[in-house]
Amino acid sequence: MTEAGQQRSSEAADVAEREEALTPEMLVHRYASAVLGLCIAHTKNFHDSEDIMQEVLLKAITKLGTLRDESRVRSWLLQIARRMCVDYYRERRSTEAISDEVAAPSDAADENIKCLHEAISKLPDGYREPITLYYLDGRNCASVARTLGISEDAVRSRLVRARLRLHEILSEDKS
Amino acid sequence: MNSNKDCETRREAIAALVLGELESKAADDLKEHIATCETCRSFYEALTDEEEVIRSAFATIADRGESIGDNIVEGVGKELGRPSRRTIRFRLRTIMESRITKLAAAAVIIIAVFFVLHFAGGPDMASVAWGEVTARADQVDFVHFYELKFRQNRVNSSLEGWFSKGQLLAKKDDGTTFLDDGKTETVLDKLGQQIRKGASEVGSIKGMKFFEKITQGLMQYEDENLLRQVPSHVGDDFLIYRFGAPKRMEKWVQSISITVGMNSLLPVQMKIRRKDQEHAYDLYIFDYEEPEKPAEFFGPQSVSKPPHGKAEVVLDGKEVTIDISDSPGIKAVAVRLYRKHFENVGELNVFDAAVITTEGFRRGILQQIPWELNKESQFSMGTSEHWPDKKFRYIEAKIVIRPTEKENVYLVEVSCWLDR
Repeated sequence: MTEAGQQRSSEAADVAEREEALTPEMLVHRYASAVLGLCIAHTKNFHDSEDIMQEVLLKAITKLGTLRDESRVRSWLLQIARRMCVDYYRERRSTEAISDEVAAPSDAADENIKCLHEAISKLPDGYREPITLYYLDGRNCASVARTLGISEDAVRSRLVRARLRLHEILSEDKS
Repeated sequence: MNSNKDCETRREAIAALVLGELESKAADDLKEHIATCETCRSFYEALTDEEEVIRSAFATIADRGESIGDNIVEGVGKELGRPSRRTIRFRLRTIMESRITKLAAAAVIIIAVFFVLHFAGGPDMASVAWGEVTARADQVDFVHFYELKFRQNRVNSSLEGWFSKGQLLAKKDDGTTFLDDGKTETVLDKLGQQIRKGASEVGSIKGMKFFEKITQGLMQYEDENLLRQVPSHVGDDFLIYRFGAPKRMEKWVQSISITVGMNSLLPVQMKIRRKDQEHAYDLYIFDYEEPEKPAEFFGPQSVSKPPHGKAEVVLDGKEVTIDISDSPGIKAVAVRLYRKHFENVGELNVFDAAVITTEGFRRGILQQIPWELNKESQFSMGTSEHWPDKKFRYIEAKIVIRPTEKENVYLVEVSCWLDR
């Protein structure tokens, strides 16, 4: 699909580039959800996702000045997030016995999040990121495709399969 | 016929339908089938109910993510003094480091400078960065200028123009008049007949200041090397800055030189040497004297329309979301007022603002804007495709901050307009 934005005049493009000088606030507001989505795809409980998300954003803020190509900021952040998720569990494994025990959920919303997160963690590898990014980053296949560097059709296909699998897992859990 | 097997194959399509990812024709066909097939209908209903729970859980997750994000921003702000756009930081640094600003900052320093001037040979104007000129030029709300196009060393055409508070009037030597109110540009021939009407030339560079526009990008703040550039020549009462062709002018521009007044640090002349024609250059001459302003264009300001929204905001308090009415596409504007300390300048009242569209997309301004009571501040945002739905939007907004009877509480009036 041709995006209207691609037709911008050079002046408008210049202005756009100027506008993309990222501040920490912009970084957080624009990408926090996507980062959290990715963390959820790679962690076993929501608290870990929150912790890693914070670390990712803080790390990104400190590196903001070194970022040259701001159009790639989303992929850059998600790359940091993936690495941190791996490191997080590797470090924990080396320092303590992994405990997936989570504090007792305080309300129905927490319970839903816990169930959902557990179900997502049971999805096959290639399905987890598309589905969490889809729900947390605007429910837009085109955007997820750009983020993951795969085609929109591939995203749609994985999303649909992931959603069906999620249904099966949630139904199994219920029964 | 094995209808169960058929229904099995429809599961993916039903999931796509529930997700809203099925093309409309296929969706219509499938809905027709669902209406008549018990198995598919029950599967569709189960997925739909579940979808609500999933979306609600993800919405809660997103809210928590946002709240974590806010805490991070707040924490970082406290630690780093609310770092804003790095370019603005650079500009501030450039200005703060400047001798001239220090002069303005404290009268005491004038005495020191007096000594410097008289006993130490004068200030080092050779180190005044171009960034300081752009900062000064930003403050200007009136410019009178001439544009002279020299071809084969003779004036080929000339134009006289006035720019004031976002409006531009220019008259060409052939009698053509350009009227630009920041939204629409109207061109009249020498008999006063309209020969063209279109998008604003000044407005098309939305958000750009006059000098950014007229210097064709040289005033862009983001190029730190450019902003750091020092004069190539220092005269008795002027500085000359020389630049190569900006990228988008490479085809027809050889070089640009800008002469700046030493005291005002404002451009007084700009010469664009062209390479598309021999012995050709465009010369601009600027002055800043209000009496030059032609009355027929810059009459008294029209009475402001009622704002699109207003609310009381506490200085150094929480962000307040002001509902916007009668402005299509815009739901609210969130405003925060606070004090910010600038080195050498001291504390200034500034505001942050973010526009929330009717789709719920939020976009903040890129810098804190200093404000004064009852004085209109303008900002704009958008232009780029970096909205969640990738659609083009451009938003212009005006804010007036008025005092109230309560201490540290201000009435913020906002008007804003969305172009798609």
